[in-house]
Amino acid sequence: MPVSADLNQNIAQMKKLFDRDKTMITRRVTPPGWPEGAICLFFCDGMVNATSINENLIRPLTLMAPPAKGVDRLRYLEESVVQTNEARQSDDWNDLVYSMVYGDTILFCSGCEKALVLNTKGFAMRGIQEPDGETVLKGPREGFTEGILRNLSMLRRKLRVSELKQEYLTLGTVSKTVCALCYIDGVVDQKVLAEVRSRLKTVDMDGVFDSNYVAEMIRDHKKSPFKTIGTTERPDVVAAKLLEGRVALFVDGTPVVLTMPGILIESFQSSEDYYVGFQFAAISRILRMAGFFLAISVVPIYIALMTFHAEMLPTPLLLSIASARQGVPFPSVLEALGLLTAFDLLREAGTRTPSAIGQTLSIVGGLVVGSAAVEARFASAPMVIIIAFSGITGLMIPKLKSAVIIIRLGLIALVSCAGLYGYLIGMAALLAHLASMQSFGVNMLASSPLAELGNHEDSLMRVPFARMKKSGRFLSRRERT
Amino acid sequence: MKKLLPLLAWCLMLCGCGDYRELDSRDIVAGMAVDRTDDGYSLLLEIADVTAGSDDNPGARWLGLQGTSLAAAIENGAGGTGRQAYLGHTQMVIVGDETARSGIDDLLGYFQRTADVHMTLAMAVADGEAAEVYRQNEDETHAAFDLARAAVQAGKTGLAPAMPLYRFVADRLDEGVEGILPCVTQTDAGAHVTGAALFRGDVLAGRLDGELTQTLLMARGLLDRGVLTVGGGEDAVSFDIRSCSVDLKTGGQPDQIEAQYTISLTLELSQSGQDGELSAERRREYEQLAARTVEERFQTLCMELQNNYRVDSLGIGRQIHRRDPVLWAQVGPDWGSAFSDCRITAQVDAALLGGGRSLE
Repeated sequence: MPVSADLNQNIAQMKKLFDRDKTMITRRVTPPGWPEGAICLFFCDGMVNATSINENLIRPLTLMAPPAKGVDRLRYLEESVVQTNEARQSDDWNDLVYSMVYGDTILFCSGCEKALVLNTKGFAMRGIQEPDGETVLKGPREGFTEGILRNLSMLRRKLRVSELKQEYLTLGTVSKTVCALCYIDGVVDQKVLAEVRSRLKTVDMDGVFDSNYVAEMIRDHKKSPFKTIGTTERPDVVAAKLLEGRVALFVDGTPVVLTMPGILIESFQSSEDYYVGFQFAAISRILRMAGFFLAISVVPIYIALMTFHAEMLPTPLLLSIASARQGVPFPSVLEALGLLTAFDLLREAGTRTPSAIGQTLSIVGGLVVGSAAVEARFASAPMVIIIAFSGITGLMIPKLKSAVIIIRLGLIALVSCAGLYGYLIGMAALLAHLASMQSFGVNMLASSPLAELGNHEDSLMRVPFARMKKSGRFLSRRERT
Repeated sequence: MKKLLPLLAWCLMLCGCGDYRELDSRDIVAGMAVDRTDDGYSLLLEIADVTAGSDDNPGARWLGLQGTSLAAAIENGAGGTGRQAYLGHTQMVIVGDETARSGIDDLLGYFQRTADVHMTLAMAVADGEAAEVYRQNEDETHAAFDLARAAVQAGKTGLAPAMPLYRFVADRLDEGVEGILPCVTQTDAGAHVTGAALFRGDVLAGRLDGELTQTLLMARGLLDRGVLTVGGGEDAVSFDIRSCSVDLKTGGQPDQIEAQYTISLTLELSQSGQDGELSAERRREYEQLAARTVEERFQTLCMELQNNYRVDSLGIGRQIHRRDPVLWAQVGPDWGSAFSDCRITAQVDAALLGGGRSLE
């Protein structure tokens, strides 16, 4: 049904659409010289800027001069009366409803077969803060918020070129979430862009409340523990990735932006690598890689040495461990799994609790419960140390957190059957899996030291900027200038 | 991944899940004494007892085992204690004199075939019953650790050969050389590692004392450092051996093999009965004295090896085997007698570096 020229019919339709919705506010206005209640405004309480409605809509409407005869009323109102930065006409009820619930004000005028959609958005939003998961000691500290427009403006400030394109799309049949596909024209890999567009068309969900909803729908290798889509909350990171030829997807309502393709080496890179000296950055990155290796390997190797290859340990260490294990009733594998579960429980509990309680929880969990478990012979002290070491190194690479947990469990299962032989089988399988993975047509190991032995510019370590010739440019079509 | 899973499962089928052993289910064997009996073997194991002592210094307990073979004896032990004897960290295996004289190939074979055993395992030959050495030290914890350390130290100073299992087995398998092992001697003060046990094949052929062992190790190029003492009583002079290099030249005819050793020693004066500054003349005198002593000991050593024991522990045959295969083809089959007739000469050069701290 189109918008009617009869104002009362339109009001009735709106009330029908928003039946039992107390947030919809109706405001009738009678401009001088107009029939009583000739204009009716609809807006959602809490979604609008009340000052803007009062000052820019109601005041001009109540003070305006009547239009000249023969002039289209709605056009007159749009062009000469209302004082909002955005105003457009629409006769589509779906569009009107969608706009109103998103903070716009709908203006119906008696005798007009269209309505005005006026921008009065003014919902509360979190301020710009540094993202908790990507903190840096040196460098920009701003992070995205939940508002897509603000996020896009932050990106625009980083890339002041007209080639930065932002394609809007709506995802979620019910949530109607606004998304923006960003890339730099002339730099972006067209194949990747086409693939992203094509996959986004296949997203069919009722609600999209976070970028992960989209990521899970469009990613490659959905069952792999490794993510094939990058995520970040930092505008500088998105800008840098766009410069490397990637595509970014902003989703309204979340500060987490998707970058595609997402390759393995990105998990070890930190934005701070580029804001500190290259030597320190190189050391930090190597430590992160070593941290990943240790996080997945320390526990399995310890179990393998304890249960299959004890002769590989120095004798004093073996005797010390054997002494510490006296009275522990569980096999090493169960002991390790129990402690790992306890560690992950504490980590999960610490994540979900306020920071003050979280710290207490860490101390109680880590120190008190740990030492009590050793005293009570539930676990041996060396195993507690190994688990703690593995857990701490696992926290060095938050982007691979889930991969670390899953791979570590898999390797533990293998070593409990076959010792170091099982460990090597597991590592070979892991490498084969990584080598077989692709993200939007790009190999997962691209630009990594595993795949490109000659390219160490921004993989194993970061070289000085002056010497970077090809790093991060594996997708880009533009020559470095 | 779907293709990988069957491969993974197949690989796991091939691996030995049976090797899974918790530390709690093992008896960590620190030392072992092996004696042959009429019925087979008698073993005395020193077990590192982690339930006693402290974390960093566990206690020890002793386990006597009997069996028709080594494996059977060890299995009998597991039947008694319910725990598997674990040889992966065994420090020292002592073989009894009688056992060594009847051959130790079966012992070597067992150690080589047992996956847990380190090939760096230290072995020694007792001057009597092997168990007696441990039994005398039963009150001490970690007698095996102490003996292993003593063997290492003796090997460094040349009082006994540093001869881990792999090196002895290598000599045993090599042509033209006979294996040697350190000797353990039980005295009132305890067990001492000194001297060398000479093997002909896998059979103990004789023993050398500390001085001749040092000379043998010099000739084999196995001496890194040590103390060379010449003379006796108040005239005794001691030198620190800083380096020792050996050059061996072999040749001659099948009926008369010739071997010429050139031994170069670098020494430092350690202790001398005479005080005062080390003059050039006295230095020359000491150098000549040291060279002459080593030369005499070398001649004694050759006489022992060639005439008394008829074993080529020097490795002259190995040199011929490697450098002159034609000659070896002629003398190799009866190398024992050819070695006894071999004309061995030695030229020893000694260089004294300095007076050492004792004269300062």
